[in-house]
Amino acid sequence: MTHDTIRTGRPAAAQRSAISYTLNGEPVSCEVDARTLLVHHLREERNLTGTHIGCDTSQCGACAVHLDGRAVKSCTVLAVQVDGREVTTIEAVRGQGPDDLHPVQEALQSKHGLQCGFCTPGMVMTALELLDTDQALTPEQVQHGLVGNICRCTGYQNIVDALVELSASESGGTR
Amino acid sequence: MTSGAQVAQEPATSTEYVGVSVPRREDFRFLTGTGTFSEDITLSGMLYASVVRSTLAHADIVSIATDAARIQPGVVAVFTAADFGDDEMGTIPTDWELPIMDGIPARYPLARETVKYVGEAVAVVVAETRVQADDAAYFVDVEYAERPAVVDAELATRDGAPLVHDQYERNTSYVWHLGTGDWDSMAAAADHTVDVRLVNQRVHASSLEARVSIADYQVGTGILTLYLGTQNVHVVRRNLSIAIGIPENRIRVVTPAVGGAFGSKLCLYPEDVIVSAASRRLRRPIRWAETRAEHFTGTSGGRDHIEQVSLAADKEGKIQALKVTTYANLGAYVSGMGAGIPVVSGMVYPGVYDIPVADVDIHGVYTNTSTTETYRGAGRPEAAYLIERAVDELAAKAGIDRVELRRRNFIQPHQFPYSNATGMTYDSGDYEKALDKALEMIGWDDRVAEQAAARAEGRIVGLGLSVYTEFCGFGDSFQLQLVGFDRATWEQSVITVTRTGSVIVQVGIDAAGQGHETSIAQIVATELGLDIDDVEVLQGDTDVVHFGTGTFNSRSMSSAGTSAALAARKILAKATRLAAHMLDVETDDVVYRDGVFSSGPQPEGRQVTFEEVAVEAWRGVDLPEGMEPTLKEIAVFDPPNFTSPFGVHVAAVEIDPDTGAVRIDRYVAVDDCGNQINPQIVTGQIHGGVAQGIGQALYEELAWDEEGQPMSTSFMQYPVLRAHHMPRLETGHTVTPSPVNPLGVKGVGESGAIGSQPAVVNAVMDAVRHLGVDNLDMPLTPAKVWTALQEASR
Ligand code: FES
Ligand code: FES
Repeated sequence: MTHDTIRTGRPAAAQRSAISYTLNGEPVSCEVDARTLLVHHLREERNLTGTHIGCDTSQCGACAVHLDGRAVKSCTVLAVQVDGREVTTIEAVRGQGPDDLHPVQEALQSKHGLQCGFCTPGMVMTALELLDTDQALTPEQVQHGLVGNICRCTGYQNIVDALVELSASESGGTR
Repeated sequence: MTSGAQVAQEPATSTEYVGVSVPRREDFRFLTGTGTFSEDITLSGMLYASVVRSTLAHADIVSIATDAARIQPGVVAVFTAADFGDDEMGTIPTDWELPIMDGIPARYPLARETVKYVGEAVAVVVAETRVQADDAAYFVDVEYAERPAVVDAELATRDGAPLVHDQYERNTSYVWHLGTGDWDSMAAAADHTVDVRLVNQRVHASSLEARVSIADYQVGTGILTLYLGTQNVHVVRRNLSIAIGIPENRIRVVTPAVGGAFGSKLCLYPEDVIVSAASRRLRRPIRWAETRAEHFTGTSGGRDHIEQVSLAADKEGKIQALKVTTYANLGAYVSGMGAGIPVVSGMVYPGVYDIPVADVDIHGVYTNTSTTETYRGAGRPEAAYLIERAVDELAAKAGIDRVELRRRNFIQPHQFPYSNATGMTYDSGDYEKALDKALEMIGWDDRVAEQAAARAEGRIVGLGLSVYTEFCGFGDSFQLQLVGFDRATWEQSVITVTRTGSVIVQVGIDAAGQGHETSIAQIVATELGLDIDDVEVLQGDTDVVHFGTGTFNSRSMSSAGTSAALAARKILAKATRLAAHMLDVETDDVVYRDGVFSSGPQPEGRQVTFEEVAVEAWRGVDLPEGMEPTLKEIAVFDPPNFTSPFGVHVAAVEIDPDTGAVRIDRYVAVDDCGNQINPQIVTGQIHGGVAQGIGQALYEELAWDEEGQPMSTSFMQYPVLRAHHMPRLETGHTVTPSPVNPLGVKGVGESGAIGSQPAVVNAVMDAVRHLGVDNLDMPLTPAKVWTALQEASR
């Protein structure tokens, strides 16, 4: 918030900023409110509702997306901050064909690593980063790697098993 | 029971789907972010609501100033209770009023004269955007005259406690007595008695998706559509109709994908009524989406029982009698099934033990807190915790091995169906078998030996077990209605076979992650001998499924699964009659398998396919005498009794003496849910339930301070389990089919949350009892355990 807005008492929402960035491989140019969070921008203004909101305090990871290839909580990033950068959401994570799943998604399905599915997009985005390594991951590494992602349904074990197994497999997940 | 004729001796299919871990058809949409949750729905012209809530636990509303809010950018309307008459926004009905209760305190969606808990809705701001609604809500100025508040259920029953409801003389809504026999004489004659005070703290389901409600009232038709995440669209429809005076046939309730529920999305909530009434007034669709803080303060939690438990046993440790006094916190109002849960909890206090005498008093008490309701297990976790903690205390005091003591008291397999001393009938069970399996899986004797060695080194280690039984699949309807249960117990399925032979199942349950679309399709495809991809399962929309009872009490397979199977059998019976007509043979001579009807043993006989029969039924021009066209059948199954899942959980823990932190080193769960439709889903339900039970045992508490200010309003103060908190779960099963439904299923959604908390706490008590700690209440946080160890060593 600038001094100007404080003095005039005008809500920060009134400030608009132009941004240009790459969203799921496509260029986007638009105006956003200065205070709009990336997650709200994606869900409400870009209609990408696969990114979810599970909390108010940056605790749950349901909103995870990739910013320049790194997993971030999109409720903790302002939309204006993605200017000039690259954002990838769950909607861009697929296998070879549009009806195919990515190996991470396949692994989660085959191990029953999801129930209600609300945490799942965030889990997938976090897992993609976690698996971006040549190492076979241990269960402890995966457990700690998922520290920012809450799942209230599965008890995590099947998610951890899916990712451990995938990291040890030939495709090694994301590489 | 409604039953179709059993037409084929042989199974109708060579591809058995039941009992197989079929991959879930739900998964693709969730994995790819294309599953539609309530908040993903945007309607044209939609407005957004922000709710102004009470900041005090108990206060009279002196005035509400809304003018400043009304002139904020984008604001369309600000409403308070004064803006709606009873016909537009009446009180919220409950689903369970015990006959001994002196009525139900009126709960208006927007508070009228007083507020009774922090978070109660007092006004709603409706604006063009969510941000504008939230901004303007800060300009609503409510003046309160504060009153004293009470948050603890036991304290609320004391003389002089602040009264939550002026129209009653006390905060105790009811005292319900359960049990038979004379405790006093049994206790006087007993060789051993124990007396334990337990607090089963308030916890919160806190599904990752909070609540969302979108109302869309259509002028002209007068039809209101409500989109929300719920476990039961039909109860929402009924109660909304009562609350806002629109007939049920002009209300459509839709629940799209639901991001977890666990009992917390089972009743009609104030916000559902508020957005509905506001949409009708403004003639535009309105969306309200809860914040996590609102979720913790407004959405019902569960448990919150204070219990005084006594056991009387003979020399051998055979338990003769049980006495319990429970103070159950209802919260400020009665929500949904909230009033009945403490009572049905009492009905399973004796657990898996053959205890002849019980003397149980349950006090249902109002306090200035949010309401309690169904939460995963709803009464059975409290019961299992109570009896399993007490039995361990008895074993310790009597000097009898706790495994042996349990064996001596088990209800034996030949005693089923077994009626316990508090009025519950268990359908079937074999506790020894499950116990033996669990002990073998963990290697009990070796663990005991290891533990002795570890203790000799000064380590603080413990082993704990729990043996539980519970009740699922609500029934019978007659008994339940006697105690004021105002939901149905039946479930219905409608099956339609289209002209091209594809199968549509409309089922009256609503999934929130349990995979019903897959499991119900497994059942129907198996019954009909068709490929599972030929079966589509529909739920969660009152315009698609006109009637139903919903998903709760782990009833979806035992009730809906059964009704789907019975409807499929009716379809097959009719199709077989028609096939006989087409083949010109007697119905009894028709053999059906894998989608083909034959005039005799396959492959020699003449054949018609299921699809050809479907075409003939659809055309309806050449049918057997008296047969109506189409293959469409309904089956309604009303269970004659509850089912009784059971199991044994064992935990091995170690406590860090420097921090008090509890680490679970081993965790074994053996659960018996009868026959399993999809074993992978069954195990997944156990995992999730155990995680929530461990959460309650070690971390979670929804707390208020003495003034009634909530202390748990985010995941920071309410630490649900993270991945690294979870021990490795070693799961096993025994299979004891239920005799009360033809599928032999019992239900599994809640078992994990029932067996786990006593196993974990018993393990911790085992670790610290010999160090002088004689009681601990959940959650067993490091601070609590460390303090207890310090005090004991003084
Ligand atoms: S919504 Fe971003 S962390 Fe919860
Ligand atoms: S699957 Fe429901 S929160 Fe993870």
